[in-house]
Amino acid sequence: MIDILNILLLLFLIVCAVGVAYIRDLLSAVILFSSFGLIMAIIWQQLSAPDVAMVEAALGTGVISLLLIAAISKTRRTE
Amino acid sequence: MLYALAALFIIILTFFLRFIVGVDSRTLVTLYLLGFIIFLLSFTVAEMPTFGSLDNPTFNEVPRRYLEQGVEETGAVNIVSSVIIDYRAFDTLGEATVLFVAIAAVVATLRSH
Amino acid sequence: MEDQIARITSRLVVPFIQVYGIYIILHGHLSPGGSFSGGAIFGASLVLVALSFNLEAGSKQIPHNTASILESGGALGYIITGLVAIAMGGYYLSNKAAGFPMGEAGSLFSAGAIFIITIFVGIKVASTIVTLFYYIIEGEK
Repeated sequence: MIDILNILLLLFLIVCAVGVAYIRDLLSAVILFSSFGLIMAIIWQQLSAPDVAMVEAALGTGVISLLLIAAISKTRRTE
Repeated sequence: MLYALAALFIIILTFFLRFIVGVDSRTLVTLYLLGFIIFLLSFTVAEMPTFGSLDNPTFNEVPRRYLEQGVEETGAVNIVSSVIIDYRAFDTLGEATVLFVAIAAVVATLRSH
Repeated sequence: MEDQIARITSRLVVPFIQVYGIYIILHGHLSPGGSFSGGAIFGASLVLVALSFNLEAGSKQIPHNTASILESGGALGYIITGLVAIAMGGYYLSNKAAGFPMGEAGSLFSAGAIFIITIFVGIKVASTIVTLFYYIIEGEK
């Protein structure tokens, strides 16, 4: 059961990573990237590394997307 | 025998993609390079030791020392914290320096405008 | 950026986020987490105030000069803690060998230098995030 959850998480991770590379709208790319960070945090938790999961959830999901959105608001929204 | 079969398969695949499907040669080279990298990566992952196994080469006397005497030597119950701030404190000092240099670069770049 | 729902929600949520960040920093030697994650959570809560209200309300929470001083002070505190260990007769950044008060393992005030350094690095990471955000958002005028 837990293997199915892990495989689903990894598949969703790959989908998010490919989507970030392909999508044209930069704001949507940032949202996809933050969901990538969230999935990655759950995967770190599944690999029994709660410290790394916490850093990933706080930095990779929250702060990185905040800084990228701040950068987008200074520049253009599309590529 | 197996290598010859593999080489034959690759040659036939190349002719098929190049002359029947009509892929141009640049894309073909890119595809083969990507396939080679995928092969290398999956080969490496297949050769890696089992996750969490006691026979791993990383599980030597160093993590054993941390797990057995870490609480007594550092006083911290969280082993990760005792490693990154006590045993490997120089490393964390380097990380803090990286953060400091990054913020100094941002301030120096954006304030001058 | 003046949104009623975002303002009221963040007014409710921000104190809990800040208490959670302080909890993670203070319990860095007891539970998962520590200086980097706790500081990131605390800094993100301060940025959330600036995002949901406006930049002036965020600047009122932590002024720029204070953030810069805290940012340098965290790094300095780390280094000075290492030097204090030398003055107490140990190696640089040593903990038990220098004779920091160890306390009882598992209680809040224990682990000597780890507790102090965790607080310093947490302050530094939080103010780094706040400073970075403000300089990017109001950079070139």
